[in-house]
Amino acid sequence: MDSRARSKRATLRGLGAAALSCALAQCAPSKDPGCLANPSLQCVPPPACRSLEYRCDARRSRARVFRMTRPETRPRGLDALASVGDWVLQNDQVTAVIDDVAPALPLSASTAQRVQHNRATHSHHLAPSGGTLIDLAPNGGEDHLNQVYQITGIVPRDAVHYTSIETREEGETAVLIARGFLDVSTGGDREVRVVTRYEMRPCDPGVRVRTELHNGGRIAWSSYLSDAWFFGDRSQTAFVQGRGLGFRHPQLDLVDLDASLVRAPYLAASSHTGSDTSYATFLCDDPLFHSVVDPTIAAIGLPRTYVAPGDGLVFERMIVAASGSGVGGAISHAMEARRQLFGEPVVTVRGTVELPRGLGDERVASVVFYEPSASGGDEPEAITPWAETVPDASGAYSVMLPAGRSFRAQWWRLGRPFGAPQSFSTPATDAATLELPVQRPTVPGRIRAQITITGEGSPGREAELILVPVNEADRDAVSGSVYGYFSAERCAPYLGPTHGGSPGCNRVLLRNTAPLEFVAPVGTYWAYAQGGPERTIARTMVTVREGETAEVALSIAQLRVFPSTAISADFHVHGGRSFDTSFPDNDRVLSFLVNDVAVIAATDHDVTTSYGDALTALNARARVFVQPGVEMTPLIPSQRIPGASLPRTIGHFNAWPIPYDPSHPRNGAPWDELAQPGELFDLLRPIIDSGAGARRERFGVVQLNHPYAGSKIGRDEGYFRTIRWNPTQPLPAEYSPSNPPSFLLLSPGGSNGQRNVDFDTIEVMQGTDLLENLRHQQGWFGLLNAGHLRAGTADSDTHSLAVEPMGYPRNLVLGMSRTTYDPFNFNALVREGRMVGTNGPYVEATLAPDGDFGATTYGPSVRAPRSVNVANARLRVVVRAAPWVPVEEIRIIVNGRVARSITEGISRPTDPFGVDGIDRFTGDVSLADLGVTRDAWIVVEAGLRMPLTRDSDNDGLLDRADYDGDGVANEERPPAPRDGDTRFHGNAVVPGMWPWGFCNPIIVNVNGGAWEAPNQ
Amino acid sequence: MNRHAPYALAITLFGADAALAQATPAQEQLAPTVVAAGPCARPRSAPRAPIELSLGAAGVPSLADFGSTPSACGYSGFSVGGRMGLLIATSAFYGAIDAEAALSGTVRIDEDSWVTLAIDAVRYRTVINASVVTAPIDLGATTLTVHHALATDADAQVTLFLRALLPTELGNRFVARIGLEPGFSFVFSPHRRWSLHGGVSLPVTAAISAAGTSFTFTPRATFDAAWLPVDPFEALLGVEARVGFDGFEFLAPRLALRAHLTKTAYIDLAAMLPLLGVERSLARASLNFGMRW
Repeated sequence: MDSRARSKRATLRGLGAAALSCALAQCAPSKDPGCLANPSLQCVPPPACRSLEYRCDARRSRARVFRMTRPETRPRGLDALASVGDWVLQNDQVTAVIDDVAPALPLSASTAQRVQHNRATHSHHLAPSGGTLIDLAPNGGEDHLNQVYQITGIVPRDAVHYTSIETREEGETAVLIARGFLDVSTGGDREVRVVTRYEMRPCDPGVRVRTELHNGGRIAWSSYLSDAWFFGDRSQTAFVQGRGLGFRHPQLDLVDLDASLVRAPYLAASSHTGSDTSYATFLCDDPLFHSVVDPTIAAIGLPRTYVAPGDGLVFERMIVAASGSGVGGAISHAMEARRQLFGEPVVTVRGTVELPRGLGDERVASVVFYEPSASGGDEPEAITPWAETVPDASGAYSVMLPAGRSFRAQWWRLGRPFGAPQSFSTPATDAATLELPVQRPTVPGRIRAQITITGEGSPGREAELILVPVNEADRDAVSGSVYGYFSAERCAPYLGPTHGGSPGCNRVLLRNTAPLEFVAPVGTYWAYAQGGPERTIARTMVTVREGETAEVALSIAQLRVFPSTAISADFHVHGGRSFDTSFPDNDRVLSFLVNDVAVIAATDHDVTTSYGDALTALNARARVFVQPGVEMTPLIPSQRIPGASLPRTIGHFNAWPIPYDPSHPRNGAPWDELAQPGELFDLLRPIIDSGAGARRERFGVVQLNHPYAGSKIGRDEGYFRTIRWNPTQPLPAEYSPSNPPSFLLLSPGGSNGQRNVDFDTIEVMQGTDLLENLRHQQGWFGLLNAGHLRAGTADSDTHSLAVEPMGYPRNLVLGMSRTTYDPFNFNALVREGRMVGTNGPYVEATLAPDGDFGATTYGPSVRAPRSVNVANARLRVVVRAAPWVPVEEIRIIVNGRVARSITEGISRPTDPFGVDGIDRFTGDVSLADLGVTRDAWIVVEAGLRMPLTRDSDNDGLLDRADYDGDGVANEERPPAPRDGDTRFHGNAVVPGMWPWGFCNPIIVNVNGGAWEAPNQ
Repeated sequence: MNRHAPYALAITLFGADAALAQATPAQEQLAPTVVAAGPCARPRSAPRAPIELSLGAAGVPSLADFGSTPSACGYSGFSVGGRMGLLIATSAFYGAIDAEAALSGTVRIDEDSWVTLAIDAVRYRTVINASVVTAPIDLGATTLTVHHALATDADAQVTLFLRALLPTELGNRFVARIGLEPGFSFVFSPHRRWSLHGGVSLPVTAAISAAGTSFTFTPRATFDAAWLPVDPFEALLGVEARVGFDGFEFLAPRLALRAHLTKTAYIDLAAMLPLLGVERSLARASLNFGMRW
């Protein structure tokens, strides 16, 4: 071998040695990889947050993990979801619940598979499976957590689907391990495997979590491995430490995620209800997480990371809980953890606030701690909030803050900052305590209110007080919000958190005749008393001054607007168990009583409720009949709709009654994901009709809710919107896979299954938005014209005191009263459409087939076409309304078109606060004059004059109205009325209210034989 | 192994007529001087080579030249180039692009043996997972390949190769990927303007972490036909097939255009389009400048 050859071989040997060194260096990863190299991930991941240690009385504290066997062990609190079969981690500090797992449901599942899966699955909300954190409560406290689950991106297939759970006890540590993969039901990669270890040690104030992700698939992923916190809009408000953050968050932009991402050390959240719990989360191996935070959902996780096939991720964090109002309790846990994990010196800041009464309530006093801007300013976008807390009933507060920094404490009251911020510096020494000077703020103004109810026949003594600024210019000065959250709801004056209990927003519930005292912003207000549309309203002017208590005494009278043989019902009611409100049960039941709604379909999102304890506590069982139900709220976009670029959800459907059973997942409500409506109906019918027994075939009711509601974070809320049905176009006669509106005719569960159109009722009025309700009405009329005769309902969809007031609108179910109430017959009347829907006016339509109202007459019914002799048949219309409810126009609608508009002869009460002038109109008209010449349906409605409307974007849906009377329909919402306007008082009682009532259709058979729909 | 033994394989691969027709004269063409004038050499072009494009292995589209069929012809030289891969799945809201600046150098050790070192010196990858996007730039993999010509005659040569994948990738957090790829390649050139190239290899990769190792095994084969219609331009058309633990991975038509700038320098542009199988990549392409002598 010559020297050249030797040289080459030496070069090769050098290269080989270098490569081997490199290989060995690469094989030493920076983190413990746990199970990442085991493609099946069957090993046990190492402990999470190993260097973190909480201390307590170790003799008393023991961590354990067990499977729930009795519903009584569910944590307290309206958001608690634990059911038999779920998994509990518990020590002497907290209780955490992980929901059980079940095999994945294929998208093409048969009805039998769906029924079987529904029995097995414990899944909740947005997560495609169990294995998620659904409850976390301090022992003795309440659960306010909706759900924390794992995601790797923003589309459904990026969510983790767990399929197995195992438990271990490792010494004093209780461990639960959930294993799974990306959600295959929505297109996720089964080879991207995920294992999450939940663990709890003695003294831990929460649960430690370690998630390992292994990309065993064929392609690389961009992964944003995170915990998704489902806040659901209004159940909790999130606080993120950071410059310009706190309770302020960049708007979530799912397309441009960068614009929403922030790096922060911890997130905290609380619900702002009386018995509150705060939560916090932080990473254990990185001082900062990457987060996007939105009122609906937040993601707290690792940076977005390229994960090559074969590689993986490890995500370690802790989720803690603390009792008490404000987020300070949980933040203190997070600060203590960061002291241990990252060596950050932390001090305790204590103080006391002195007020004569009312402390322990966020409405009266709370405090936000922040670092001022670099220039010493207090601009919200430049300061760095660190914590918020609410002094306890004694006025004491305590919070942990970093050592050696300059802070300011800003006090808040009634949703607004008050007083100058107080500057202080924390000691530089770790674990020091700083005692802040005693705060003696000015004493807030108060109102002592009492409302009496006069007149005969009042079922109770409950009423509502509503405050409205006398001068519109004062609105900004007295409005407030939860540190900026919900400011769009413009509560003025702000009396309390919008979605919490009473007082909330600008409203207060009063029970019996006892006076109630509450704090209110300084100002001059109209104080309105209201008790539903069958009572008068009253008002008085009240001036609130600092340190003084103003008296309000009002009296309202019971009226007789509705027939004695009608019963008020609201089929769309949410309470604190819904993921998007924290409204307490007692106040919810009190709102039924105040507004005199006798029958309630309790339709919380994806969970069943009975309000049983609250009904008993308020002695209301004889006055309010609750049919437990559910609002089926699919949240996982799974339906491919031709023409839609993204998978869709199918909107919302109510169903009742559903036996309330806390031992079952979701209290007995079925799981509603990955299904078309007909498949949901197939699941629902056996449940809601189970009470019928041998008496009847049908018992329950399935309702299509707000069919043209929009979408939120890509989730459709109205089915007609999902299938892009232009209601001005006739429905197709047959199903076609390429024609979405024809999906209504499909039986997705097979030929024996329900069709997507086989709901019983359709929500025509929902809340107060007139144009939205006109769109719903367009859909209803389209169905009727196509021969799908469904009853129309009017529901409040109430979530709180203020935004969607209870019972506005409501249904008057004809042929029943409180004393004759029977749920079987009641639901039969509902399905038949023997109803009037109204937010004030009562509309009675009676058909005399032969023109003789002394003989046989008929009211509304979608089940029974009435044979008529057109030449003689007449329709009688009677309209009544409380004096404060304006009625200007009556419209008789035949086959969807206004055949007669009546504006003359309608009486108008002279005193809106009086008791006279209830009867507004009585008259009759011949069917011939209405242009009825063939089979038809007739609906009568009455209320304010309907503004000119138009469809501005040619989708067939009305979206603009001429609210300002300039002859051009270009407004989306009516302007706020001024005092003296027709709408002023009604708008004070129900913001945005457009008085409107309608009767269900009278179906007239002119031709004899089978009834033919107009578009048939 | 007896260096004449692969004639049986040559018969199988090239057809009996061609192999047998050359068998006897080839007895005299095994001297080094004949190799220089044999199937690998052309008067005014760089040595013959197949389409040197790879879809990597173990789900990683580029691991230097791991998973590619090397030239059966020995040479010394280097190449500088760029590669790019594309995967778009619109309905799944997924897209991936990778691009590498690749360096390769080959040193002939003797007349029958040569060694190649290849590296993805700069690697850019981006994955679009809906709106979750990552785009790391880092150092890619390195390979070291030892080639040994097993049998040669006037028109054909069969070469064994053994390639090692070295874990120089910097983008992984928990794993180091190594691999070994034994295989053979061949060239058959019945005419100065025509040649056929092919090869079979058995790549094995191991993803190693402290917790364990996971393996992939993706046997693959290529076959390319090259035509030099007019100097300096050469067109190649071929196909690659690969199987793996997931079953049939892909069948990929591929093509290349090569310009032989001088007797030693060339530029080539190559592309492959995986079809069928479980592979999701849409296309892969490369542009290389090299010199071989």
